[in-house]
Amino acid sequence: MPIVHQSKPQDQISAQGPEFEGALLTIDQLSYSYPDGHQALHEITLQIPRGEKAAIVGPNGAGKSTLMLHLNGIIQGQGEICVDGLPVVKDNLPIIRGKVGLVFQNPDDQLFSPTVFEDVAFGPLHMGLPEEKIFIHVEEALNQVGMREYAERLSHHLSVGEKKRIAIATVLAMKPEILVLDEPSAGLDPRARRSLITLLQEMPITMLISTHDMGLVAELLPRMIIMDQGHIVADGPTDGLLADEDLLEQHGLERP
Amino acid sequence: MMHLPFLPRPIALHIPDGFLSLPVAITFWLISIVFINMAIRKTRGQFGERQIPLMGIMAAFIFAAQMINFPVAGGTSGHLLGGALAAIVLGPWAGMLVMVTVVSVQALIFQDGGLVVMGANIFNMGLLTTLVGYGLYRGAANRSRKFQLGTAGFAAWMSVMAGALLTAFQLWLSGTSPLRIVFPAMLSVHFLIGLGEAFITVAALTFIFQTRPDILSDVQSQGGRGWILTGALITLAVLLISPFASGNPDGLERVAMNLNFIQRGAEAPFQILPDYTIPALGETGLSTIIAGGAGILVVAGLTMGIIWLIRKPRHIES
Amino acid sequence: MHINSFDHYQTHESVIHRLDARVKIILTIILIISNALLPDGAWTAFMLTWGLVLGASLLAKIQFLFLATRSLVVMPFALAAITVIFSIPGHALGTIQLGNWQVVVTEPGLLRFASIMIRSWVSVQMAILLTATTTTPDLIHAMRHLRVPDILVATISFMYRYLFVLSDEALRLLRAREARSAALDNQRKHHTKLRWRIKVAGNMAGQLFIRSYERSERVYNAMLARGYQGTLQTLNPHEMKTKDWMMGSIVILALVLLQIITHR
Repeated sequence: MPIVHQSKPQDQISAQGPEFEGALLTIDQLSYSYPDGHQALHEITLQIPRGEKAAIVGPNGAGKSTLMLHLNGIIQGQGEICVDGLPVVKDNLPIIRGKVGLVFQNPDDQLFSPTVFEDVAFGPLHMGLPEEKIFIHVEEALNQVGMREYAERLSHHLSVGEKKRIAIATVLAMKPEILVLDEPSAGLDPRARRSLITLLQEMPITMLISTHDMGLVAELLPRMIIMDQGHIVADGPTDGLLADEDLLEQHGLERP
Repeated sequence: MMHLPFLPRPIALHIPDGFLSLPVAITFWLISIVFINMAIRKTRGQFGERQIPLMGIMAAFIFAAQMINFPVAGGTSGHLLGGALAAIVLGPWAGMLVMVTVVSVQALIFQDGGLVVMGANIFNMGLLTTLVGYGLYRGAANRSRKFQLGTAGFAAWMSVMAGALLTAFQLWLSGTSPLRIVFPAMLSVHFLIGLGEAFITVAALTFIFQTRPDILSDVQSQGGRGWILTGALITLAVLLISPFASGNPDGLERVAMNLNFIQRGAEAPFQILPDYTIPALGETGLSTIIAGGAGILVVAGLTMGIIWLIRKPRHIES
Repeated sequence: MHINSFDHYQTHESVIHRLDARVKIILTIILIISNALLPDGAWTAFMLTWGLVLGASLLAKIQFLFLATRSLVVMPFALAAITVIFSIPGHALGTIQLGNWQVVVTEPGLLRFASIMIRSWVSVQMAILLTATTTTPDLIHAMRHLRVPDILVATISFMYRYLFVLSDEALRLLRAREARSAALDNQRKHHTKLRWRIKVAGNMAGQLFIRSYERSERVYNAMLARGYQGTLQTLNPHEMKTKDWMMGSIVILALVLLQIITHR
C-alpha cells in the first residue's frame, strides 16, 4: 500500500463546520490597487447565496480575474470578504482555500504535476487529509467529471477539453462549497464546450463563473453580474440583463 | 507529433558514459554534490514559497530556449547553452540549481550525457558556467546598461570556454583523448559556439531589460565580491591555460605526470606541426604560440567539417 | 499534445516494467560503473554485459532497432576519442595518409578506442532501457527515495511537466519566424544581416523567458489555491517487494562475479 510522505504532519483542516445561515459568499466594499497604483477594484459589494450559479461578465481589464484571486486570499485588498461566515484573513486561509475551489483559465497553469492523479490529489494532500480519504476524494472527483480512467495519465498527453475537466476535478477533490471558474470555455472546440456545459449543469454546487461566453451564461447561469473598470455596473437575473441591449453595448458585450 | 529527443542542441559538452575514467567521474560528482548542497541552502530564502515552481519552470525554459537558434552560415547555427543567462536572471545559486536540473533531466530522460559521468557534466555545464557567468556579470553591477550587456556577452562566451576547457581536461585525464588534440579542438570549436552563446544572451537580456526590468533588478546586486573574484580567477585560468595547453601540451603533460595525475602518458607518434614550432621562426616562445594557433585553426576546420557531415537531421514534426 | 518516443514503451507490461524504479536506477548505475571498471580489451566481459542488457530489453519487449538507433546519441562524441587510435605508442598496424600528414594506427591505440566505444555504447543502452521501462513520474519518485534532495526532486518534477508546454511555445515562436521570413523573397532572405538574425533569436529567448517567469507566478497561485503552504508533499505508490530485492541482488552478484573473473 502507498506510503504518505508528509514532511510535517499537519492538523487536518475540517471543512465541515455547523452550517452557516447567511449568504455563502459576501463581499463588502472591496477595493484593490496594484503596486503600480492602478486601481483594479472599486468598492465591490456582492452576495452569493448557497446553491446559486452566477456569471461575472465584462470586457478584459474589468477586474474579473483580480476579484477572483481575492476570494481565497491570494490577493488581499481593502474591505471584507466572508466565505461561509468566515472572514478571509491570513489565519483562516487554509480553511477558506478548501471552501473556495478556484479554477484558473489556463489548464496548463492549474495542472502542474506530471500525472493526473498527483494533480487531483494535491489539494486534499495539502489540506492534510489522511491517506485513505485522499484516495476516495480523488476517485470521486474524477468520477464527477467523467474522467475516472485518466488517473495514471500524463498531463501533457491530454487534450484541452480533458485538461479543463481534470482542472475542475483538482478543486472538486477538496470538496469546496463554491466553485469559482475563470473562462471555463475558452479554447474549447464546440463539442468539448457542449460537454463542459452539460457537466456544469449537472453539478449541484454553488458557482461563480467569469466568462466572455454569453451563450454559456444564458444557458447555465440564472444570475449575471456585469463589471467594467473595476466597478459592478449591473447585477440581476440573466434574462433581464440580456434583454437590455443598450447596457450590453455600453460594456462591450453581445447577446448570445 | 513532436519527438523531443532529436531536437538540435549543443552536443559537444554532454559527455556520455564510458568516456571518463571512474576516478575522474567520481571526483566531479563529489565536487558537484558540495556545490549543489550549498546552492540548496543559499536559495532557500531567495524566492520563498515560490521557489519550487519558479525554478522548475525556469529549468523547462532553459531546455526550450536551447531549441532557439539563429542561422550563421554554411548550414551552421548559433545556439544557447544557458548557464550564464540563468545565473544573470535568477542569481548564481538559483541559476546553478536550474542548470543542475536541466543537465540531469537531459541525461535521465533523453540520454543527453551519461549517468555516472553526470557529476562532470553538471559541473562543466551547470556549475562552472554559472560561477564564471555570474561572477563576471556581477563585476559590472552599478555600471551603465551598455557596459552590463557587454560584460554579460563576455561572461557568456567565457562560460562556454571554461566548460569546454574543463571537458577537454577531463577527457585527457581519463586517457580518452591526447592533450595536444583535445585542447585545441575543444577550445576552437567552442570559441565559435561561445560567440553564439554571447550573442543570444545579450540579445535576450536586452529584450528583458526593455520589457520587464523589474525581474532583473531583484537579482542584480546579489552576493558580494567573492563572486567577482571567482569569476575573474576562472577567466584568468582559462585565458592562461588555453594558449599554454594548445601551444605547449608537453609542458602540461609533464606537470601532470610529475603530480601523478595520469599514468597513461599518451605520446603521439605523429606530428601535425613538427614540435609545434614554425621552422622559420626557430624555437621561440612566439613560434610556439603561432604554431598553437595554426593547430587550433586546422583542427577546428576538420572538426567542424566532420560535425557538419554527421550532424543530426532535425525531426520536428507536428 | 506531445509524444515522447519513450512514452510508447513506458506503458508496456513486463517483468522489467514492474520492477521497482529504485532497483532499476541502482542496477543501471552499477552496470555502468562495472563497465568503467572492466579493463580495455576485456571483450568477453563486455559481450556478457551487453548480453545482459539485450536480454533485459528482450524481456521488456523493446525492439532492438529502437535500442540501436537511440544509442547512436553517443556517436558524435566518438570524435573526442578517435585520436587515441594514432596517439598511443605501440605496434603499428598501418598508416593513413591525410594530405601531407601521415598518421600511424597502433594496436594499443585501436584497442583503447574500441574499448571506450563499446563501454559507452553498452552503458547508454542500459540507460535507454531504464528510461524506456520506467515512467518519468516513477523515476522522479524513486529519486526521492534514493535521497536526492527534495528541492531538486520537486524542481525536476516541475521541469518535466512544463518541458513540453514551453518547448511547444518555443516551436510556435520558431514557426512564426519561419512564416515571416518565408514572406521575404529568397534574395533578401540570404542577405538579412547576421545582427538582425541574432536580435530575432534573442527576442524569442527573452520573450520565452518572460512568459515562463509569468507562468511560474500563475502556477504558484494555482498551488496556493489548493492549499500549498511552502512544503511540497507527495503520495507514493512504491514499495520494495521480495521480487525486487531478488532481481537486484542477482544482477549485482553477476556483475561482481564478472569483475572478479575478468580481473583475476
